[in-house]
Amino acid sequence: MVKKTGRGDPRAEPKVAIPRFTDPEAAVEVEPESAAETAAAGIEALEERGARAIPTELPVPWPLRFAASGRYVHEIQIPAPIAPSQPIPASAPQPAARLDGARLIPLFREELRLDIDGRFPQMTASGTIRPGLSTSIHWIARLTPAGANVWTGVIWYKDGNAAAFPYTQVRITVVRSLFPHQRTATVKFSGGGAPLRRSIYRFRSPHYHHVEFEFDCATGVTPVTSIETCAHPNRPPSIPCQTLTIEEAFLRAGFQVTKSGGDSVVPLAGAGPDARWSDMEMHDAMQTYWSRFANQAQWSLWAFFASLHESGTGLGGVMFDDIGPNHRQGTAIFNDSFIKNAPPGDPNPAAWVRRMRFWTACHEMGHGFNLAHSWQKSLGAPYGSPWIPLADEPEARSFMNYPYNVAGGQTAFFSDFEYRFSDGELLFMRHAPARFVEMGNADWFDHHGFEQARVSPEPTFHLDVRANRSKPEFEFLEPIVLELKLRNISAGPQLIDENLLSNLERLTLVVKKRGKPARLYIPYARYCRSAKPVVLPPGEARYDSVFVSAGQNGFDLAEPGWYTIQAALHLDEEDVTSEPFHLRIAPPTGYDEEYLAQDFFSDDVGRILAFDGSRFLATGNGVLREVAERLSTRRVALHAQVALGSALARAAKVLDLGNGKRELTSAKAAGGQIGAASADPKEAHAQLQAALFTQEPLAAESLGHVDYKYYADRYSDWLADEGDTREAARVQDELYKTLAERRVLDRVLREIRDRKESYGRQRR
Amino acid sequence: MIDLGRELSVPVLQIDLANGFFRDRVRVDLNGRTVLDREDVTTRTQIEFAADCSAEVATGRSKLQVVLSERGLSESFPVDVSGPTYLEISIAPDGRIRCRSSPEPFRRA
Repeated sequence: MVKKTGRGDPRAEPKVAIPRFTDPEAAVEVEPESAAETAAAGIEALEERGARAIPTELPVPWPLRFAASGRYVHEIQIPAPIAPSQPIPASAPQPAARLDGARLIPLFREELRLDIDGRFPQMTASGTIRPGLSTSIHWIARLTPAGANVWTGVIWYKDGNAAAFPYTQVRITVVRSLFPHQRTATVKFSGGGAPLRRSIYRFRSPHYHHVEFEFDCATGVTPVTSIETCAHPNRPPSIPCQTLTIEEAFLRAGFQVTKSGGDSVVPLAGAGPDARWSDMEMHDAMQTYWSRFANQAQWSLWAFFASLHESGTGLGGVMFDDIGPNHRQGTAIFNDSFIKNAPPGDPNPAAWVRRMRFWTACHEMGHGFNLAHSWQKSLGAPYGSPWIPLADEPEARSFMNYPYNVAGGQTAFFSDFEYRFSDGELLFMRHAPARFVEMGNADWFDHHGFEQARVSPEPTFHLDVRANRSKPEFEFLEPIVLELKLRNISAGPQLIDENLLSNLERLTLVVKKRGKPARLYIPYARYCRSAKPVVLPPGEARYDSVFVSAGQNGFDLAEPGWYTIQAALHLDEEDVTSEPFHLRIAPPTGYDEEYLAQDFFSDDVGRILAFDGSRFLATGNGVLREVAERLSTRRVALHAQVALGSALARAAKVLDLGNGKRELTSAKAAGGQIGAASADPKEAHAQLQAALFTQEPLAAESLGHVDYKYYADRYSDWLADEGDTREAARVQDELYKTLAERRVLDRVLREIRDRKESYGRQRR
Repeated sequence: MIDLGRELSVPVLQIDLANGFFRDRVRVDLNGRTVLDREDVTTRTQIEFAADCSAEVATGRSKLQVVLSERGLSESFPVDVSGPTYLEISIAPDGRIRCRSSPEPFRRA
């Protein structure tokens, strides 16, 4: 349910206090309208010295209240070079560059979006920081008031090179002014072990983004781009009676809306002989008649009013632009679909119809902003990805909900609908990284909306995603195994489930290749284990590995390039989010790698690697054998050998369906039976020995410490079960030596010693 | 596609594949006759619709079977038809095939 904050009531005309400060020490009245930077520092200093505001009450209409919300900018400027008055021939000596001290050009700019008053304030600040010339970070903080014109908050979201922006807290001080150019916001970033950072941003706009609309219509169709909010008697009693346009609806969402000026009529011939529109015909019309069409991301959206979709009256509208490289630039509204049929007995059918057409237009355009339906916010893979798990809002009074789907139907919906988006949707539209929202940028449903993770201002745990190597670079074809480290950063012991990190039900892992949409990692299998509580003392950590290369989405980590991986662990009381981890996959080094890649990146191979072997997936096993043979010097061979050897170490049960049947039927009806596949100890020993103990440092680095120890332990246990405890002890000796050189925890080395000693006891 | 706005002497069954489909091979049989057999069926989340078909069917009870062979899913549903009937087939989050029926077209936007 959309919350009614009660703030920002446009009909109120509050008396406004214009603060004037007195310095109790100097007894001098300090003017707040001095130079912005001086004012900001001065006011802060006055506040710190206990200065108090002397209210001067004046009746000032709402629009002139010194609203602070909007977009602010901080620019680093340099003097502009002076161009020579006449062109200098290339053959002539070139003069040294001269700088014009009077003219400055921006070197780079940082932005702040402050959302603490005005329409539907979200009590949020977001911004883009450039800690270096080539890096940028998007951050978001939830704000709470901390004094007059001061807000503080926790940074709960970062996108970009977060390692270069470790801050966790913000403190924002606003200087309000009747004159926009004198408004400033000073942001102090703190926490994360970094020195304080302070930036002063100058007010630029009361809006968070600019967007442009174009409304075209098919011949004979009237676009509905505005309504009278009181035309229909079924409405919220508090809603102001006014002409509401589509532009105003999105203005209230925080956008500076302009029109392209290209509104036009699309000839009906574009719909073909049936006068109904297919998706392809609408795409063609968009490219032909939209005055802003371009194969690029841009804050510009085309809305097309037509009669009917080819599918008939059941489709009221559609954001049809979900193909090609630039999604979400075109939407369509079908005036003669079911939205033209007012319910029987409706008190004002004409107003009802107009309202439904208006709602449909805003709804479809909301999809253009990458908003999902209210009841499908939690929907992710394989259709796309919310960044953080979202909560569905099936009863939301939002443009993104179907009026007829809520309890009580459309009557209940419109009795309580204020022609707005929900708070979660506004948070996304205003504060998400622009590329998630901008039309033509992130694919439809990729990064659709997101919600504040339940990040505690005093987190209990810290989660790391890392690789056990000095540089996060992986060979082409090398399966990627990362380490999760969960550390107790609180002052007291914490009770957690022993299998917390291996329980993927609680873990959200997102993989993103640079320049491509993010993908949610979906493992091949989820395991149900009984909870086993263990105590994690303060400062201690638990570790586990995660094989991220492949899952039910296929191989998410395959092509050469840069990737970002981030994890969120969902605990009962809080969500713990890791910093983004960046890794690089190197290009192939030769023909063999490229050749084998065609077969390697398959579902079979992914499953064999994920499950450490298979006795059934013969094709995948064949590929891995070829990899181990032809790419014996490459790290992928180690992983192949582990999988091949592990599968052969012991006898296995195999479901044999014989010839099987094409139609779905039971295994029994198909004549299936469980058979036994015998072990091949000699082959298993050869494969595992080659994988684990011919290039130990390489194996430990590529498999990861957790998995390297796991495979070595399984190998030595197997040897001991086969009666060769001496060899089992030798394996543990090698393991000890390798991991000691890699400086693993003493606790791990003790475990290895204990295991070795257990083999000695077995011998005795 | 049959225009369901026209009155027909023989009832028409409109079958929509709606939610939960992703690159699925889907076969729909009506009274043993295949009315839809399609690969790569994927739900368009913005309208919760993947594919559709329609078939004329006699009044009374019919049997609808939906098969997703690659996922190992199959479900049969009894369908009572007395006039134009609209069915919506979805794959629920629990992995089961669900079917709901309406005398009017399902509304999407």
